[in-house]
Amino acid sequence: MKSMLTRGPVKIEALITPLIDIAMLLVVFFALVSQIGITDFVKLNLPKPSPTAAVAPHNEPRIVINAIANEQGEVTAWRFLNDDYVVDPSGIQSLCNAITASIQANPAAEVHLRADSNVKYTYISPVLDQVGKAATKAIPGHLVKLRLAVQPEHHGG
Amino acid sequence: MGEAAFLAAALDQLAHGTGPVETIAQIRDDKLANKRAARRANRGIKLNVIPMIDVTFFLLVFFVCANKTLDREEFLRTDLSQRGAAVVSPNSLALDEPPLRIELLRIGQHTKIKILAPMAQPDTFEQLTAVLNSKRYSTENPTGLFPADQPIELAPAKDVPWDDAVSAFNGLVRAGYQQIHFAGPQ
Repeated sequence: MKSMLTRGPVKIEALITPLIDIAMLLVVFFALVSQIGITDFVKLNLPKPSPTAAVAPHNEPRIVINAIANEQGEVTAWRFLNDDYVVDPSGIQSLCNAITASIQANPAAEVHLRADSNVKYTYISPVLDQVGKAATKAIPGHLVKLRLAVQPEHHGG
Repeated sequence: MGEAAFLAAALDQLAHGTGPVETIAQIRDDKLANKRAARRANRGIKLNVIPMIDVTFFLLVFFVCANKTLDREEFLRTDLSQRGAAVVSPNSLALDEPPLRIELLRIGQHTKIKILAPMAQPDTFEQLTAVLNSKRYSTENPTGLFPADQPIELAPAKDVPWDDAVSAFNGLVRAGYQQIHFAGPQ
């Protein structure tokens, strides 16, 4: 008892370093989760031309259009901004309206077209037409910076 | 005690096995130890290396992951200005110069390349690059037929896979042409 009384006041210290560690961990975690959460990128088997003339992406705003296809190379839906558009004239028209709105909101954006390597061209062509029309509808005379997504040569998959 | 007497006593003690030499050495050691202790006490700065290593590893992991995420695809650049003109012009492919048309036809499981111009017809996309590169006008190739900004219309058939359409496009870019456009399906 005596020894307890003679110890004096207890010194309380806040350990900041583990707090900073945890904060960093959370920042990293949410940064990664937000990257994964971007549904712009659907897992696709992109074309792999070799040797390629493709270039790495720039840090420019982008509008990403994904072709969701089956094994026979038939596009079942177009995915744009978390929405799926069916492959019929009304679906394509809705997609065109959505792209028009996006280009109007961000005229400098690049349009990234991502399609599986086995997709038949008959599915791609109407969308190329609609993207061009959407750009002109959004801003007359607007030049669409279309980017065709390909797999890098050094990519293992 | 005088110095001579001290030395005499010391020599005497040394002769008997114990002596002032030890004592002097001890005093010297004590002084050094005290000096070291005082020096240590004066040092107030400590370097915590472990949190630094933690943070470094976090940053390393972050950049490795970010690099993997960003490095997974590349892009072939084109523009849709001509197709965009479809709303204004009755012909969606209206170009200032007549374009050089290249058709991709699907025969069985093979894609055939057909250049609609009197020149050697390529069998592969590599050959397409070589043939059209040899026809591109430049200071190194003054006999070339087409300038680099010659409009080229790439017209894949309906059932041509996107991989082949992109490979043909890639081959034309590699041949040095700048205005390549996709036509509607045949």
